[in-house]
Amino acid sequence: MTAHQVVTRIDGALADHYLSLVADGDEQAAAELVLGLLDDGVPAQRIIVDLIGATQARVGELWAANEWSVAREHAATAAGERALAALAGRTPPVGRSGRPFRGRIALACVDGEWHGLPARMLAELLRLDGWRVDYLGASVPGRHLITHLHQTGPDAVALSCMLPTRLPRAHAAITACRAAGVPVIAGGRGFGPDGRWAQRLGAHAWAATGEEAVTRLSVDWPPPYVSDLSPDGPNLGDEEYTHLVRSRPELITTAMQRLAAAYPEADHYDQSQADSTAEDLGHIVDFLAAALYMGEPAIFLDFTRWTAEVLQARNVPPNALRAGLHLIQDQLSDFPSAADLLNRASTQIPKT
Amino acid sequence: MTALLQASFLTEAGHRLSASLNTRRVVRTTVELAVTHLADAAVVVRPAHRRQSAWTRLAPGNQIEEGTLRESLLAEVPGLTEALGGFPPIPSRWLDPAQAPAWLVPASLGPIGALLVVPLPGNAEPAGALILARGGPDAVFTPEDEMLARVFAARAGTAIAAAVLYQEQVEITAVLQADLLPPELPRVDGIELTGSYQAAREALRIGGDFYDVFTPDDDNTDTVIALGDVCGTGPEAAVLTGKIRQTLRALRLVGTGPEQMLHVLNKALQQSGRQSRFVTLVVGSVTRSDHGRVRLDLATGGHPPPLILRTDGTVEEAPVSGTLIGVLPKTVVRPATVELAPGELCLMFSDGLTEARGGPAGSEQYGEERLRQALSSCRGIPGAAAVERIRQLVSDWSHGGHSDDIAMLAVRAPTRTPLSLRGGGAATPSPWAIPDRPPRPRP
Repeated sequence: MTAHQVVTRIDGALADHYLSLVADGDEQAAAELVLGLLDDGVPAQRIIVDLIGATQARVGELWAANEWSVAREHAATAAGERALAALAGRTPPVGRSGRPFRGRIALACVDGEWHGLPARMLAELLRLDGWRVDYLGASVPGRHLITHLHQTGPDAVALSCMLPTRLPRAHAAITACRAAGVPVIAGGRGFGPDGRWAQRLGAHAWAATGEEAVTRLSVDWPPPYVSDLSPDGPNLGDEEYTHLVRSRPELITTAMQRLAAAYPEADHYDQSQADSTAEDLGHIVDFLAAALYMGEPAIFLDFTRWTAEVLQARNVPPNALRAGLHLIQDQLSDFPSAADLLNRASTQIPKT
Repeated sequence: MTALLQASFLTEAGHRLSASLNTRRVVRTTVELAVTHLADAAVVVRPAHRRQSAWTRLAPGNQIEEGTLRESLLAEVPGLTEALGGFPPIPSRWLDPAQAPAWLVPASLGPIGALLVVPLPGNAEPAGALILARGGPDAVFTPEDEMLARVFAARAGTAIAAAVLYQEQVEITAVLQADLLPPELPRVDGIELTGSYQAAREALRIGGDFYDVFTPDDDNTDTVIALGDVCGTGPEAAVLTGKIRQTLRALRLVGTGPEQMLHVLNKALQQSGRQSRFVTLVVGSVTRSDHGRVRLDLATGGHPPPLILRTDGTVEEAPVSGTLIGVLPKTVVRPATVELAPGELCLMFSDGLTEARGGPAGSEQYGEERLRQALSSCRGIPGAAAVERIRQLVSDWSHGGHSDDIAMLAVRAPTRTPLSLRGGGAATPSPWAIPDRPPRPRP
């Protein structure tokens, strides 16, 4: 048995060790490691951001590079959540007489958004900064969020969105929060590079990271009231978007029927492979819809570029993706923006 | 203020005051609006409750402040007792600002030049009083100002009163709901328990599905788990789930086994006289057995059989069956015993899971086959991660539009961590194979 070595800093070796623990889904060891660091005097904020958060980012990369399975990614995420919960159980809220002093904040992931860990980390960071935090969970339906606002009257809503496909729902949630008089801070990659879409959707502020959100909320909050009555609000979504969302089931069903003709390998798909393909076609339609809703081609082009890379890591030929794009495009000949976007996406996919 | 400005002020006031049903927020909005359009400083004082009055104020150079004061102090503010008593407001010129107590507004305002106190009319009783103050020796409230303040106060009072009413209802609902929410699961040594509950989208957070866990006590060494589905959704169904959970808890205390529990519950429901109220249920007695294994004695009544995930990834159905509870005078129960090796998992679920409609065409049921595949992909991962993954897959399937309650309860025999990992030794190779299906795009 070796003497206990006091660790005061999160370095590469420690991060690697922690990654190996969550990689095995060893929740208990991960939690023990985190609590040990806390005992050694490492600030809770650093553990959350530099260890739990940074590791989660690596987990995502490992999955994208096909080094980890989805199941393993889930196990690692669960271990991260457990470690975070252990840490939360150990750190009392700060503030005068140990009570929150900043105000109350409601934290939610947008409807359909299942990436709960980043929001949970933010909840913890805000609590450590003296906020009373109500974490409403992953995938919070809009009306549950609004009911909560009326019941508790918080000083802010922090809304997390990691996927641009949820932007229309994020828009609905933000609009409803504004109508209820509660200012919104948006966070997460779903709001685009530099959060450029957050403001268009009506958010009062945007933060790239949990730490940024804590800083932003610590000064000049709430922001001054701005009337929503002005007629020149953002005008999002058009008839192409509406058509795409409405006809989603038919688009996918038809594409699946024509799949084997366009992509002969699909002839031998079993049920599970067919389900996955239908799901992937669904993603194409959803990202296309989000791009049309926001009027932002980048949403769709980034998605297809990223998908091509992920497929390449799994030895799926780029033709499979191209076939999928064409199958959708063929059904959208009357919708110029959508067809044009599909065409652009298809030309940027590598030939082989 | 011109008529046009007045109209736009009252429009904005109506819009903002009606936006929230939260008392605190409506009151804060009231002082904000009052300071923007009517006075230099504004205080809302709410009627005394247990001899304390809550107040909210906004003055120049300050954030909104909130607090409470003793009822006896209210009389120090000229005109306040009358306003809170529901009497017509006293004209400003009759109120001597010099008599206003020092605590009323912060010193930053300077001496109060003019004071106006108007009632905030509520539901048959005042919702509070609005105190407006203007600084400077020449300050006055003209009769036009007073009229505008009264019109504004009428709107603010209505909004506050509605919010108060709503809060009262919310508090009652919360109390009634508290017992019907799924329980926080206890930690049981050597058994991993995970629960998940999603109420139907349109409903409250409660519904007809439920689960419960009863930990070992002085007389019983086993852990009893139950998951069930009462016909129907919403509060009506939820109330019955509360009764069933309590019945099961009592039966457990007298040492009744799963099979007998179902028989007794069947009789109890039949005798309760409510028509067409039935439930499907799975009950299990969970004990630890040798070598980290977990043993489940299961009995079901009309419920989908639990699925068991084995170490090699195969998924089996627990060989149990039984008839609906609460319909027939005599229920038939065929119990079974299941053993889980470390890492194996037994999933109990309500049919809202397999019947979730969605998929590419939008109307296809998720189905047992997909559930089996999803479960199979959870090989080797902790129970919490497995349940979360299935929950996510089903939600993706139904695009979040599930119309029925979904409950899941997983029992897992924990894996023991290889000792080499504790000391930071070389990690064992991953037990998880990379799936050979195309991945789900997810940037």
